[in-house]
Amino acid sequence: MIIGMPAATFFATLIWPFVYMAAAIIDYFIMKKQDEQIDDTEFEQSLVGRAAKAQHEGGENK
Amino acid sequence: MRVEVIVLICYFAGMIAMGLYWNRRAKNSEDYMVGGRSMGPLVTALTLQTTAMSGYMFMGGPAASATLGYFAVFYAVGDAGGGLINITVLGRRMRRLSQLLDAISPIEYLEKRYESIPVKVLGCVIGVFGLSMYVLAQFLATGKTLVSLFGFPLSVGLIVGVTVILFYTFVGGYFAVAWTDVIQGFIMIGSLIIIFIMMMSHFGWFAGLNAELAKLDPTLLGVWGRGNIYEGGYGVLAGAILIYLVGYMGLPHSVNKHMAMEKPKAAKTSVLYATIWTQLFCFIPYFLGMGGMVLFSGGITANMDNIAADGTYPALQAAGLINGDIEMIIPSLTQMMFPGVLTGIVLTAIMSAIMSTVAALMLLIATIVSIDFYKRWLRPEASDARVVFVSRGTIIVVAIVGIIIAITNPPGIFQLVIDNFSFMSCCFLPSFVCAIWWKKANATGSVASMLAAGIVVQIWSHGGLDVVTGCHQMFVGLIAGCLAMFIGSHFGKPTSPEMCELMERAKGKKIDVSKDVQVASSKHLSTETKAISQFVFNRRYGSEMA
Repeated sequence: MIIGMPAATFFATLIWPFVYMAAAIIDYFIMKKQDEQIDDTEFEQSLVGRAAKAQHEGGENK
Repeated sequence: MRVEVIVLICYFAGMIAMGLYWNRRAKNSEDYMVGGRSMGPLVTALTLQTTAMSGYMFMGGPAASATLGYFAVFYAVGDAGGGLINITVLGRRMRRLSQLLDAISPIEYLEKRYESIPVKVLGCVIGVFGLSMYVLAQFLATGKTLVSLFGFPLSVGLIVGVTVILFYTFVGGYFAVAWTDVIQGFIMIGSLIIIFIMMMSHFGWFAGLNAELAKLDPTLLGVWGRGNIYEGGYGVLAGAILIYLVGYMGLPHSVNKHMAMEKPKAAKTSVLYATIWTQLFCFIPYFLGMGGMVLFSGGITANMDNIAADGTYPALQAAGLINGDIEMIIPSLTQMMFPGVLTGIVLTAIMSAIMSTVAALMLLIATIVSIDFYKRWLRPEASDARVVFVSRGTIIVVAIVGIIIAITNPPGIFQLVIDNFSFMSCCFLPSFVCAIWWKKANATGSVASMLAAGIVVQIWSHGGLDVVTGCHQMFVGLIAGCLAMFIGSHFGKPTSPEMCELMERAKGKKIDVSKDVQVASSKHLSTETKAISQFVFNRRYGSEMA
């Protein structure tokens, strides 16, 4: 028994938060490493586009 | 006026204010439907998770654990990993491919990826039907909550609640939906944590709670449910875990969030935020359900087994369970433990869970109807303003029809919505996943998978085969859908070379030279440059001097 419950139930249900958090941290670092090798400039255009548009509109309004 | 009602009114006012604020920000249909693809990692994570977590987490989940014990926690086991899997598998590539395809709605995305009108038609039908049933289920939950907790007449409560949702969705679009989700997410998690700490302190934490559960019925602590009802049912267990672990990848209102991400690189941070949030949010309701059963039954098994013909628990009602309705366990616990304002906040959290889901569903239905039906089929020349108008009109129609059905509550309606999650998820999951991971997946495979999964899920659940076979419909529906995708993709028109190239681009363009090589190269280059300069200098000035 672990904290008053059968060991099978404990391992089947309550260890998962720790497993998922560890998996998320590992996942983060793997994705970070992959992202460093990728050029995503064309997919960040929504930010570039909006900033440039805002600047352009600001210039027109002056 | 009751304190809880005042808190609820303040909450509604806040949501309306957010809708008005974001109304100024939404300039075009891309802003209105996917937030201009500018959602950062925290907003992406919380809107993804709060949309996924509906009123079920506050009502259905705790009711399941109260009656079944730790078996019900398996739904949480799947749920808690769902965000992690969803964002990791689909996040970045779907964000890239949706932009390359210039797709705003998930159905448009599927149509363009599979280069097929039948995929669009079938996707629209399943999507609009499935999402509408989902909305209806949330309206039914809203009505129940408002009637039971606030004493509102059903029609009044529904109209007020839906009007607020309608307002901020209608006026603010995706921005309002996403940012209200963030606030609602914090309300939901904050209130659950407070009740959890209070309840567990009362019991003496897990050891104390489990000791009380053992006194009530030792099988509540087992993995097979109370009375070992599911003993040996590994298919049921697999379904309970799978349904949420992978199921979200098949829900249009969930995958929509990937398309709205600010940039693909936001995905990794979203994974962290989403996973932290779900660990806190997914498991707690189930423990509250079990703790609530112990408290309201007074530790007496006979009270737990005393169930009236209408499904209510008279003995538990006498101890404080609202209306004797087991789904009211969390609100009942709240009323038992907290003063009025805190109770109001917790009850508001239930409304938050429901409203965050409804808002996302309605916005997506509107997107599908206005973009996929109207703009891209009926009126290709329609202006952006007209598309937004049609979208808003659809939201109103869905709300009105939903309210009428929820108020009249025709018999059998609940059964219609109960298996909707499995239905939509199994129909769409193979298509969404294979869209970015398997170049060979084609229109024939996609159509076959939607049809096979949809038919199998409906037959399995309505035919009662889940009970006979011990296999959840989600489990068999997924298998049928994936098999159909694999087999079907060997027939029909293959994926075009242009689409294969777009899928390659969706993997992300590799930087030609890695940082390490750049650094190493620059050291060599500087030496080379120095040597070349010296050579040229010597040749020039050496010859001049000669």
